[in-house]
Amino acid sequence: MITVNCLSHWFGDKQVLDNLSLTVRDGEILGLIGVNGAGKSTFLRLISGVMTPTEGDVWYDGLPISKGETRKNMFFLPDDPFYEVGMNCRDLFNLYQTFYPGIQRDVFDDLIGFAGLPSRKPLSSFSKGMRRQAFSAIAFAIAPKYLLLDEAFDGLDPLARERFKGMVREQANRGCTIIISSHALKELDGFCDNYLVLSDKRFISPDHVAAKISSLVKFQVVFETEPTKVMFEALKLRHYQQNGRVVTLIAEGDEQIIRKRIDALQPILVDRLEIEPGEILIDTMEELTRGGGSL
Amino acid sequence: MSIEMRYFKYHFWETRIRLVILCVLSVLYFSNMADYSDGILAVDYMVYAGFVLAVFVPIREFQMFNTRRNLDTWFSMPIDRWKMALVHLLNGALHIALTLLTGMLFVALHVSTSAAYYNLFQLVAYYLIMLALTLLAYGFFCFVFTQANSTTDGTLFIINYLFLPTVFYVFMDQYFENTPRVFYGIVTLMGTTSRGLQSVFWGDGRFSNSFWTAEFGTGSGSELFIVNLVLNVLICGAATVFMLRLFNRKHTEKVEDVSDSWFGFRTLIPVMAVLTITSPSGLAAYTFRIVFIYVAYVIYRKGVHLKRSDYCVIAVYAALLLMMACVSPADSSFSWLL
Repeated sequence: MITVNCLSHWFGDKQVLDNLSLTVRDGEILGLIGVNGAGKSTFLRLISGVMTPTEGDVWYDGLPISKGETRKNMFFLPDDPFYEVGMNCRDLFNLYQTFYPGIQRDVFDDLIGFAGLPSRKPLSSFSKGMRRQAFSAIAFAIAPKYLLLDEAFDGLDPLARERFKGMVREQANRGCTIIISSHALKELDGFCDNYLVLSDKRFISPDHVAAKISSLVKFQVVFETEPTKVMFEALKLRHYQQNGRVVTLIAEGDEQIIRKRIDALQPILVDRLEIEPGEILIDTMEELTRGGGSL
Repeated sequence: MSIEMRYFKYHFWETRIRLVILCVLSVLYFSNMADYSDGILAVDYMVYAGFVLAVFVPIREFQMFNTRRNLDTWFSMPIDRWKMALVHLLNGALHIALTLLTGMLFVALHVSTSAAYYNLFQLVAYYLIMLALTLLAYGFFCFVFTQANSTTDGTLFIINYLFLPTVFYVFMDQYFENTPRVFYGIVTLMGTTSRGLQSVFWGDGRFSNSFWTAEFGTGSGSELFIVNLVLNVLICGAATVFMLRLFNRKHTEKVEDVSDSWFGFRTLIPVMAVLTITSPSGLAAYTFRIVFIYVAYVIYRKGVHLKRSDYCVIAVYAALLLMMACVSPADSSFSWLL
């Protein structure tokens, strides 16, 4: 279990994180979402021991992260990980084998082979996605108890992304606790067990997200002729997507009132849809990015 | 095997090419520079070799910690930071020991096959003494370098500390008479003059040119030598231990940023400015000195936007210069003010 207690951090005079507390259960996949510069990477650096928090502490199974011993069970994959000039996949494996003696060579070789990565070519000649796959292979071969992934999907093609998700899920199934950050909300949608939005130095509370879900409603509406967005101005729209005569919308307010207003537009079909958690987060983040939200 | 030991083995292996290059350079250096014709080793050359190693090796060992991107990986590894620093410290020390040893073995081989008279036992003892002094200096420069947040700043810190003791005594000589040379810095201690360590050991040996014949300051050479040695051991030893402790608390987010350690520019610029202060001999010299200290602060702050405290130091420095120009004896230095 990862426990973060009242964590705050300053860069000089500027506060970047404010009083963050968090508990992550064993085997949980937690999605950490936030716009660029929200502090996701800083948060991951703090809970991985790379940085020391100005205030607060971080514990892994009751042990402080500041101790090297604690980090034996943890692997942090940063956005842009270190590799020496001229280092290839084999050298990378040797480096991590030094610190994680339990790393499984066969798993690493399999993953590298499956991704089609040349093991003797320097990593500097790889594309960002290829490098990402090489480091992911290291992470999965180490099979740590705690896995922290920063912007994990960056540079991965759709196929590699799906494979990566499958591997992450596999790790979680064997009890690995995973925190994965991304600014691309759609990547994490339906993949994580829980989500946290980091904005304005703080986490958006799960209660807030739950309250959001109960206040929003999603409809798919089909019209005889192509509609315009102006027709829906009576609704407090949170999301609007139009594909010809078909409109998908998320609106805030009482469901019955919203339904009546939509019916007044005389559609030929109205379908009530379920809202995915990711959509709520998109909505919440957009609201916060516009400066409209406060928690 | 512990992680520290595994990392040491890994790091030693990864830096093997550097070690080979240093050893080859050492042999080339001694084959060109040493003079064995009369059985006397030109000990100064060993001093230079040790000195260059003590400055170069810390930069190579610790520069990887001056890149933020690298730290994401290194500081999340399952090893305490101070132990990681210790591994680098020991690896550098081993490189220095092996490089000097290679040089010494080459010298020993050379003199044993030549007609020159030579006491090999003295050579071994000399090697050990030089190694101890080099490692003292190495530990100190490791501390100095790791106080910086970038490799350039760290190198500039080292250069400043190289000159600091000498600049201090030049300053003292200028304004005070008979200043006792209680601390002349590790560099001088490594030297072959009367202040050098070998002067004590080789009083009746083959290194007759490096005897403690000269006296300096107000006391005898040997007394001050002991004080100098003790001070150096204390300062360098404390700096090395302190380096390991501070490394544990290194602020990752400040890496690649302004180096604002109290052991760096923040203190060095005003101290060096005061120690090198002399009466300006004209308006041009006056302006040049102020511009020079301004440039030092621009290097420190990595930009032209200085802090109020920096401007205060420059203003005080300018006022001091002006005061010196005014109070200096009636010579040309004051005339420019009139």
